[in-house]
Amino acid sequence: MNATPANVSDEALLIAFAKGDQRAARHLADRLLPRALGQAARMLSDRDEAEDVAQEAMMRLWRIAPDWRQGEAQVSTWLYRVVANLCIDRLRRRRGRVGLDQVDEPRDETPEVTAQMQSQARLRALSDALAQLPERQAQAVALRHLEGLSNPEIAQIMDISVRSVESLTARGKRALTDLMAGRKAELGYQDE
Amino acid sequence: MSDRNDDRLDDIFAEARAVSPPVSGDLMGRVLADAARMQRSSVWWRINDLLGGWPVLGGLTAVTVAGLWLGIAPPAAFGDLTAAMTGDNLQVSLFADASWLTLEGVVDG
Repeated sequence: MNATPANVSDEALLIAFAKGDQRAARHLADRLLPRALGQAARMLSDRDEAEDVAQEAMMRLWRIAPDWRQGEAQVSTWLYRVVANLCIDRLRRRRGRVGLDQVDEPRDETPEVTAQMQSQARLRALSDALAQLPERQAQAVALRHLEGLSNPEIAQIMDISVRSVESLTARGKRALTDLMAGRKAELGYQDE
Repeated sequence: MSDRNDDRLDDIFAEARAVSPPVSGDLMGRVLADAARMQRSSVWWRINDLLGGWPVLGGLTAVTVAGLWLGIAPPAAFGDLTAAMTGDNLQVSLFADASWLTLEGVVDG
């Protein structure tokens, strides 16, 4: 019942939604909400915050639907931008209070649980390190290395040139490497 | 050493890319409730636009209230004028024993 033909574009669904088609909302949410939630979860490494961001991003989509300008932008590009901006806002608030104190010590010492906790700690450390970067760098690095998007796609999302994307991702990655290297002992890396 | 740090960061990026949380029923419910709310308000605004916006709605409301008021309590001058033009007064009581709440009208005699 919820299946939508693959050839119906996000934009067509959004226009149908704006005209009052209630099923279009369900189809759009089925398609776009998992993507928005995943992007937010990867950037924030916090389930509750990621859900709030995903809900807010979808709310903005519903709100803009009646004014959507056909053919100007892809809905998915627009959504990537909105989620990235909302995550950057959250990361900005996180600055100055970052640390690993949010990550609990494992109660269960089995290797699987310990490995899972360390994985969570690494992902949280990555998110906290993103919070320390200049915002454009953080956004470009996240889109490139967490979402796996190409530089031209990122350029479109951030409304900048491909050359600027290359520069932002290179500088951002270098800064992240330094920030993460300073925490390798906390993250369970044994170094020589 | 720097290469090793780079490799570690790439490993963590790969770990992060694998994160793909399922959408809970609760979240989907909240998102669809937002959509329904926005759709309702959007429909309301479209009707409003069709009618010509707030000034027209305000005017319509004022005219409706004025008409209702004239129907319930017509000024005495209206009663005299219409009686003079068309005929006898007719008193209609809404409640059997509520003599204070009557509607006056005019019928042809």
